Parts: sequence; structure tokens; C-alpha cells
Amino acid sequence: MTKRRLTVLFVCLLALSQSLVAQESAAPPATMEPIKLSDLKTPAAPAFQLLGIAPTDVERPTTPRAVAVSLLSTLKQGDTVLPNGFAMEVAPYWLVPHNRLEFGTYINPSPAQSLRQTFSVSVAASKAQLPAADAIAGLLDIGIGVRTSPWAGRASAQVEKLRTAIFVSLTQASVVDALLDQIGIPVGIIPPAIATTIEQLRSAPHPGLTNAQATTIFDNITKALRQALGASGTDAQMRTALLQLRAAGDASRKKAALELQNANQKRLGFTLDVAAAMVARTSDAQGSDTRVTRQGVWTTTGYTADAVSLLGLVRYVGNSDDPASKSHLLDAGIRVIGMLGDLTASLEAIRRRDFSTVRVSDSASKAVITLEYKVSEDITITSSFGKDFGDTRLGHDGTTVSLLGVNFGLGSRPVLPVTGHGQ
Amino acid sequence: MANQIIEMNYKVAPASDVVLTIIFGSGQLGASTITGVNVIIGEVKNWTVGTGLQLVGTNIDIHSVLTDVNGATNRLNADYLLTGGVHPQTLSLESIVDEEGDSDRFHVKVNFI
Repeated sequence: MTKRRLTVLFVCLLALSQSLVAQESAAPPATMEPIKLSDLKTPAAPAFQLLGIAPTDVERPTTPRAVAVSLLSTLKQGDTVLPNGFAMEVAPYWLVPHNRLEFGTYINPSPAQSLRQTFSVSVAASKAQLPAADAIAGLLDIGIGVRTSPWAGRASAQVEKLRTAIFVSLTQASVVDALLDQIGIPVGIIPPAIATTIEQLRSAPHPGLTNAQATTIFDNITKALRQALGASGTDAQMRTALLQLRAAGDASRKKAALELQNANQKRLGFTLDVAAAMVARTSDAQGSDTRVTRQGVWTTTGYTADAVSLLGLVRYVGNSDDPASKSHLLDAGIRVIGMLGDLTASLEAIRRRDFSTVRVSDSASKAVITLEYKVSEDITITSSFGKDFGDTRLGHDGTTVSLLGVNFGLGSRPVLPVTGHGQ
Repeated sequence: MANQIIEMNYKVAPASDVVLTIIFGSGQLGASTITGVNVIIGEVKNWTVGTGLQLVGTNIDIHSVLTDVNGATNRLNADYLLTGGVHPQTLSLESIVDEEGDSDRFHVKVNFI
């Protein structure tokens, strides 16, 4: 398809979208906070998400001993089960060594291996906020959650490229180390007159000093002189060059390793992330007055290839902080992104089912199509059209979405990236 | 760990090949340079060092460098597996680096007896 035909097709689609949305009347604004697709994503730490906290000081122990120390020191602090503000995230698999887990297995794991290596537990505690009676009584919310990714997809070509670069650098570093080991510390020869004096003094009487102390004095002086005399020789020059090479290699490898970790966030192929969490409200360490107030389950699945990305999300969140007004929300979302030449199209839809005690309607939905066409390197036309969320509690209809924009030379980064796992 | 030499003895069987494999665990990357009675650089997997008869009384120096590329752990491991002698023998080394992307080094000397 030629670029001219694609432009005509794109303009026609834009015209159609604008005419469709023009037929609808302006809907009342939704007062409920709009839900984004990213809100439905499987969270990294489901306990924190369900508690609605973003702790800055999260304990992440990496050994079994550190886990025990963290929990014991925490339990000693207060008279409740866990102190307010406590947050811990731990990946049990990584608490112990895995000597035979090679990079290739880690980066492209089987489902069973992926399940093990991505399994994490999050625990957090915070003071109850609602209802007011619970807040005044000083009740504590304790959340616990688990998360894992049984299907983690496969690594991208960028990861393989970085792996190769790091391996070459590692091999060079090991050769440098072997040569440095062979060279050792370069030393020179002390002139005979000075050497004779040192040897005379070494065997001189040394009242007030033990033999070992006297020997250490002359060993230190001899070593310092020999190293100083060897500092300008060929060996010293080679050593300096190799040490510089080693330092530069370590620095560039560190940069590449961080880039690899970042590139590994984008996973190709089929992915599945699941998480679950619950919050219990309690008043004392014995847990005699404890009730479960919140539950959450998240599932995110996707498929990512070079020109297409599919993402499906399901989230259930139940909240009975206030027993008189329980809320149960089931949200499902889907996003499809496809690229054809310079045209990128995406469909994003979210459906909410509300099973709450207080509600006006049972469901609400949102669906938006976005088209982006790159006319040239500097000019991009973007259009979005569809229907936004209403409010199931207030009975508002969703507003229509109709946007048309042209970007001139504001960078080549597309609005609609073909994203992968972890984005 | 970088400046420490780990020395081990390996009892050879005169008629059989001694084979060395180095495994870098914890999902990390590593490479080695081996000098001495035989040489190799890069990945060392099922590498025939020599026959027991050739190796007895000699040694090899192994310099391994590892980099933390795994965001889930800062642990670095290397297993040195020797087979073909009187008994198989494994040396396991471990180190924990301070920061993501850091490197560490293992220096192993194997004396063939």
C-alpha cells in the first residue's frame, strides 16, 4: 500500500470518527475518578496496592537470616501484630543460592521455573482510615499479598545483544586479570650501599623491640623502596595500562548490565501475571478482634510481537472497611495495538461490573480507538474517539471522547508504543 | 574475593581425560581465562584439560570474572566441576556484590596430583 493511499485511508477514518461522535449529545461529566487500563495491571506488591499505600521504606531482605531479623525486630517494636508503616517485600526463591541456574534458563524460563523465580510475597501494615470509628479506635490494617508470573514470555533481541557485549567484556576482563597476575607488583633493585646498610641494621641489636617488630620495620622499608624503584619500569607501565583497561571494562559492563535489566522488562510472546491479596483489620496482637476487610485478585495476560501487542486484564477488588457499605468491583480491560507501516492503531476498552451494596447501575464501560499516522519524520496526526466511563454509583452516562491532534517536530517518539510485559 | 587465590588439588587417573566445566549460577553472566598446562578463554564447558598422565605434577590458573545482570539478586556464584580423575570434584564459590551491575572475580589454582 502506498503512502498516499494510507494517508487517504487515515483521513477517511478520522472523518468517520468525528461524524460519529458529533451525533451524540454532550453527556454530564462523570464525578467518579476515571479508571485507566494501567489501574488494572497486576501490581508488583499487591499488599501495598490493596492497602492503598506507597511506602518509601520497604524492607527487601535477601537472605533467610535477614527475613528473620527483619520480622523479629519489627515484632519487638509495638504492642500490635505489626507496627504502623511496616512494609516488606520478599522473593523466597532468591533467598538461597542457585548455583546451577544459568543466565539462559533465567532469562527464558520454563513455566515451572518462571513460577518459582517470580513468586514474591508482600506484607504491610497501616492505620485504618475509614470508617471514622475504626480510625478513632486506632485499628490496624494488615495486608498480605502474593504475586507470580507463570508465563514470562521470552527476552528481546536487545537483551541478546547486550548479553553478547557483556560476555565479550567479561572474557577480556579475565584475560586482563590473568596478565596482571603474571606481572604481579613490579619491583626494582635497591642500590648496594643502601641494601648493605639495611641488612646491617636488620641484624643490629634492637632493645625494646621484639624480633618480629624489628623484622617488620625493615620488611616495610625494603618493600616500599623496591616498589618505588619498580614504578617506572616496563612491568609497571603494563600494569598501569591493564589496570586502566580493567577499570574501564568494569564501568562499561555495569552500564550494559543495567541496560540489560531494563531491556528485560520488555518480554515477547505470551505472558501471564497473577496476584492476590487480602487485608485484615485488627486491634491487638492476639488477633482476637480481627476481620477481613479487603480482598483483591489481579490477572494480566498479553502477547507481544514486533508489530502487534495484545493485553488483557481482569481485576476484582472487594472492600468492606465499612460493613454498612460493602463494595465489590470486577473490572476487565483489553488493549490491542497494531502497526502497519506508518499507521498505528489501538483499541482500549474497559468493562466494570459493580456488585456493591450501594449502586445505581450494575455496569459501566469505556472504549476508545486511537489512530496515529506518521506523515513525515516531523509531523504526526493523532485521533482518538470513543466513549469514556460513566459512574455506576451516580448513574452518569459516559462522556464521548473525540480528539484530533497534529504534532509538528516534537520528537519522533510515538504516542502508541507497541509495549511488552512490564510496561 | 578478588585478591584471594583458592587452591585445590585434583587426583588424576593416568589413562583418562580430565574434563573441566565452569557454571555461573544465580542467572548471572561470567567468563574465564585459564592458563598453565593448557589454555582456554571465554565459556568453559566440558573442556578437556588433558590426560591424567600429561597433567600429573602440573597446574592450571583460572581467572573468572562475573557481573551482576540479574535484578532479582546481587549474588554471584561459580561452580568448578572436575571429572575424569579418581573422583569427580566440585568447588563452589560465592560472592555478594553491593550494587546492581557490579563485578567480582574468582581466582582458582588447580594442582593435578
